[in-house]
Amino acid sequence: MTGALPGGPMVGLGEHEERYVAEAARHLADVPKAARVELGAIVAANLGERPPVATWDQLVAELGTPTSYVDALRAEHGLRGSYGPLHQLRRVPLRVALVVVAMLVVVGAVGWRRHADATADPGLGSFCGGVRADDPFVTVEQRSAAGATEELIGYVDGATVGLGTCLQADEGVELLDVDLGDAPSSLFEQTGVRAASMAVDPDAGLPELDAPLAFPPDGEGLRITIKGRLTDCERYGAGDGNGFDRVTVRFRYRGRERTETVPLIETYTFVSPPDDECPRPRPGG
Amino acid sequence: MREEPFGGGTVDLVVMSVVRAQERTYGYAVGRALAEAGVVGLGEAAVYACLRRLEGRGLVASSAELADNGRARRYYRLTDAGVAHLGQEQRAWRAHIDAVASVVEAGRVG
Repeated sequence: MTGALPGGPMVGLGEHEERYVAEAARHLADVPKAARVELGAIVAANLGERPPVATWDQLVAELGTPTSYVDALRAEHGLRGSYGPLHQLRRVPLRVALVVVAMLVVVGAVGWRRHADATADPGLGSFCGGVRADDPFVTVEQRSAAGATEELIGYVDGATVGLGTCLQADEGVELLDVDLGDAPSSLFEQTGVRAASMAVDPDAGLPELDAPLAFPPDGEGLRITIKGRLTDCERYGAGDGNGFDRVTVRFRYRGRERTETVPLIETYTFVSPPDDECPRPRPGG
Repeated sequence: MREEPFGGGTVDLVVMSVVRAQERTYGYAVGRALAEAGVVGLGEAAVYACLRRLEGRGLVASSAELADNGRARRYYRLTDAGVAHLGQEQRAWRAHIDAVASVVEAGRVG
């Protein structure tokens, strides 16, 4: 089914549902990244399909607390308890653990300190999506297969499109930039990045990311819109697609500037138009 | 005493049965149907996780569509493999229930 969303609000959750998703995501912070993305998608799908609620208390009454919800998800996926370092230590006999810990402290402490800042996992992940098109003729069709969601965006030359995502990261991470990576002949030319806290209504527009933006300490994440222009249709045959399923995130963590590739919760695919809707001639056309 | 009211096999059985009965449905509707039928102890989280797991096993297939409220909704249906699997599970469940019933009836009080 075609779901055209030209110029309309980004398909998203209500205030209480978004809070629920964010709090659930925080309780998944210790889960391995692949499972975290999978479980985050389940929470978002569930909250997106429920009828909107009027109050937070109503949502909790109907669905349980985010903690209990995540516990149920963990149980369904066989992820019981914490997956942090302490959990791993608990599985080792105490005497062995003490010896290993002492050896690590003596032998590896200095080296670890030197490299910890460069290798620490900042906990980056994506947990929402959506497309906003300013041009009413840009169509957006959502389809899915094998648990993956794809947004098919119909090309209109020169139209401006915003690709939405939400990023989560550990406390202390500062967001510097987000881009779609190397795409020398893409149908989508990135022109800017907008970012704000999850509390900001995306319909009101997000501010430009023109200075480092710290992830909130409560793990709620940041709302991101990658702005861009549809262009270069002459480089693609009619109906051909060019997709993006990850973003490159540049950030500062523990005093070091780093980049990390983060898989998106859904793929954005731009579909090239027929010859008569591409204003520039195609080779051989 | 069981730690949880539902084991994984029972969750799959009831969720697939609802999908089969409704022919084409989505997670929240499955949860509502189970709640209205009096199936307790099975929350929406478990239903949604179960549907994803069943899709990963090829027992259900899904497609995302936009609902009237503008939100995306993922509809599920049983695949042919899912129908066959559900039939096996329902027969096994029936045999289990009959066996338990016969034992309970034999020791019936009053």
